[in-house]
Amino acid sequence: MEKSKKHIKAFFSFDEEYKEFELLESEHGVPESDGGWRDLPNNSHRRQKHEGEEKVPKRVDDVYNRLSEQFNTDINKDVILRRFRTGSGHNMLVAYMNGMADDKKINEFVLKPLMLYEGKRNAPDELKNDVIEISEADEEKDFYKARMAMMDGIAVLFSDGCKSCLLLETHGYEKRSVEKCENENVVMGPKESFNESFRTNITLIRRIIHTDDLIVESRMSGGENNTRLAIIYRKGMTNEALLEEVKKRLDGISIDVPITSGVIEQLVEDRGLIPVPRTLSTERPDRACSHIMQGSVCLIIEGSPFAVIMPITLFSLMNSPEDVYLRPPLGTILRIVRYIGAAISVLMPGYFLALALYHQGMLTTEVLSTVIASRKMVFEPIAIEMILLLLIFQMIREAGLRVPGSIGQAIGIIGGLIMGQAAVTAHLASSVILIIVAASGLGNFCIPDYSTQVSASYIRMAVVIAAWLGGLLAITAVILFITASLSSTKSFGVPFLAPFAPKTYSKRPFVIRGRIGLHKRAEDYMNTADDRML
Amino acid sequence: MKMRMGRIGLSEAVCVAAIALSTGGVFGIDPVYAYLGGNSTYISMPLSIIVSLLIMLPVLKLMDATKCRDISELFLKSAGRAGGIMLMFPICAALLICAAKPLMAFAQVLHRMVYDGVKYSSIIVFMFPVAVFMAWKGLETVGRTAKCIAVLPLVALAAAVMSSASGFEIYRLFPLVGDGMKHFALFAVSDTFVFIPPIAGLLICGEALGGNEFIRKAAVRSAFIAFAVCFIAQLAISLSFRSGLLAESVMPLYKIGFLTAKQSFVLRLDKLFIMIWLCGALVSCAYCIYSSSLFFSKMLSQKDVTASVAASSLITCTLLLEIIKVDNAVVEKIRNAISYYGALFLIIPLAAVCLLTVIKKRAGRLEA
Repeated sequence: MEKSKKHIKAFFSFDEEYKEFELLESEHGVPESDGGWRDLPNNSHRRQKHEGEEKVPKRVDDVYNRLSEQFNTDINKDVILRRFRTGSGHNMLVAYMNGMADDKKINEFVLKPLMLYEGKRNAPDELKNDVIEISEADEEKDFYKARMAMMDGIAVLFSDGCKSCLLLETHGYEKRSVEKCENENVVMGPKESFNESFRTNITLIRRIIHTDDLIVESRMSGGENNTRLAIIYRKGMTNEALLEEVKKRLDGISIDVPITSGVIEQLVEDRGLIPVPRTLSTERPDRACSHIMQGSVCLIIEGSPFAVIMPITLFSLMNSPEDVYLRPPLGTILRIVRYIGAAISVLMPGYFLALALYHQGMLTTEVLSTVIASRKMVFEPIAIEMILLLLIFQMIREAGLRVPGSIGQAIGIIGGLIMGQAAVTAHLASSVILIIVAASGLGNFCIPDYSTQVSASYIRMAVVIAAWLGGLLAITAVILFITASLSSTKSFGVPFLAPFAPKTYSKRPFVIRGRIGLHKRAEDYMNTADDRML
Repeated sequence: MKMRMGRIGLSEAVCVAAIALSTGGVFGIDPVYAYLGGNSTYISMPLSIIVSLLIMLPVLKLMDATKCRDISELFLKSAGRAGGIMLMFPICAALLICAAKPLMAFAQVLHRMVYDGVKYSSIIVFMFPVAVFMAWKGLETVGRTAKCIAVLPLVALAAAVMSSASGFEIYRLFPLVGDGMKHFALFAVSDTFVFIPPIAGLLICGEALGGNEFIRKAAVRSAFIAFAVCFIAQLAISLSFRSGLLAESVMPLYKIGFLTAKQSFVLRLDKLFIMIWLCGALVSCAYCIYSSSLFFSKMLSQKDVTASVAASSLITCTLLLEIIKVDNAVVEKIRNAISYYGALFLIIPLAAVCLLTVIKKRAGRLEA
């Protein structure tokens, strides 16, 4: 809402600069990073307002009382506050969330050694070095941060008389194992996909990228809900201005709904009204790594099985991970088929409708007579028929996606074959229109990215409605309008149609698949540090 | 500043200028005047592009010499604010006329031959807002859109010419240069009214192009492309129709396919071709509206071009909606005056600016 207001204001306010983040080189060779997003309030204060305000109480009893009150332990039975004494009689408290932390780990490597410990030194750093048998243990003085860590599955150890506590890495919640990709299937290439586990996803990336400049910057985002996310990039390669811009936009997030990849995409994109995605969501670690290696920034969000890549261009959205695994001629053929499929998907129904409604002279007599014959008994107007069939196709698709696997396939078969045949027999739809809608749907499936598929569906509907209203003239206007919109769109400062419009230095062809040997240099539009070789 | 220039590369600048020049040369001419002396447009039009380029190159040279980043700076330096504004108006007006003329032709053809009997206003309502949108978004959008669609009009032209080649007759080219060389030269100069504004547009948007060298390259390359396009298109038209018929025809390129007796698949695409050419005309319109607005804004030291774009769009829309349907003597006279003497309205202010610059430079009153 705030963003929309800003755009409306910018639209009507003359003589007022609307700043836009720009990543392409300026005359001086340095990207001007004074984007409009920088004017937005930094909402990280909502999260940070408590930080540093609460000190860790010295007495364990005080800690216990305060945590009991703050977590409502009389109601919240999954908050475990375990008071105990060490072998030397020193009071301690370990606090964790049941189910989020691993009980066995806490019993075996925290409670057991401490209860047997008879030493006199009870300061957290001393316990960490001498007693606790957990690899990752950090001292923390901020009580708020300790509480937040608890929520994340970390066990917190408080020692009587100490002003700090120990955060112990004891994550142990249930998670899905690494499984096969569901949405980005490839015949050749790796099969594994991201899952909901933050650590696992980062590991999957680290397993592929072995450069020492890979940075995984962990931070919290999203107002008071504190969603953990990781910004992954290559230090020294990724453009600093881009990185700053991403962080700025993440800091600007102030909503309190749970943040997932889909939500974060919408929150960090430039303009929400344009249907095409400005970030790439992928469930494939190899695809994410390929973009990171080129200087992109990748976001991994806790609880989300997708990595969000930015910036992206239309051509990167149209590329499939499989392209790289095939030889150039084969990859080229697949890509060309994909682009033709996308064009058919967007244009074919509208074009046919325009010819049938306004420009019958452009159809041959044979085609025209076939259309007339097939529509002889159909009661609704051709435009309504086309729109209805497109909607039904979309419904079948949605139904197929939402229901379990085998039933989903059955719905596709029932919807596609039986319903289509029945509709033609019952004169509810004509066979010609059915074929066009089916071809358009198939073309839509050629688009590798799901968000882009949905965008293409919207554009297709706009083209159909335009064709209904004004024939080829209206289609031309809509297509030119969309082209102009895409031309003016930027994804984190990178023009959406780069490297074609604007033309940037690129040895790699953007539609056909070039030789793998050409992947030596990052794309020029990424404006990587020193445009360095990969 | 909200000038919405951004930065466009050489390829975008070449595409947008070439589209504007070609659209002007193929669809933006007044047929009554252009074919007055016979089928000589295939020579006079390309020649006119060269003449336009030769007129604009000295201006560019002076911009170089005076270290001006765009033509508005040159106008301000040479003629001062008041004088510069006076000299600016004919160029802005010419740009808006160039924005409207091809669209007028398209609206007429669509009205007569594609959407039989549909009102002009309905046709314009569909096409003009897109041009306004592009102009409003600024030069980057116009340039990149031009780059995206640049190949399509060329393909459509090639397909239209090839499909109608069987109907070409050499005898239709005569008389070659009308009533003689005098007439021919007159056409070459007077048609510059169509070609100077798009090249001037490059000079107006010079700052976004990143230097005078890029402007020169863009102007020369786009003129070369437009030269080839205009030559092919006008030659195909001249080979297809007698000059008498052409004088009464609004968009002869659209009709060349109709002459071939044999029905072909490509012939059925005639309406598709016109839509593809319309894309070029809309981009050209957006470019001319934006250039005109930018020139105006810079000369008046406005910090925001959008107000000028809104005003320019309104003027162009008025031209489209009103002049297209008025068929009276006054409008006819204005049209004729523009066709015959329009070029002078452009050449005189440009010459005046050049002269003033040279005089001031020699007198040492101009910063080098």
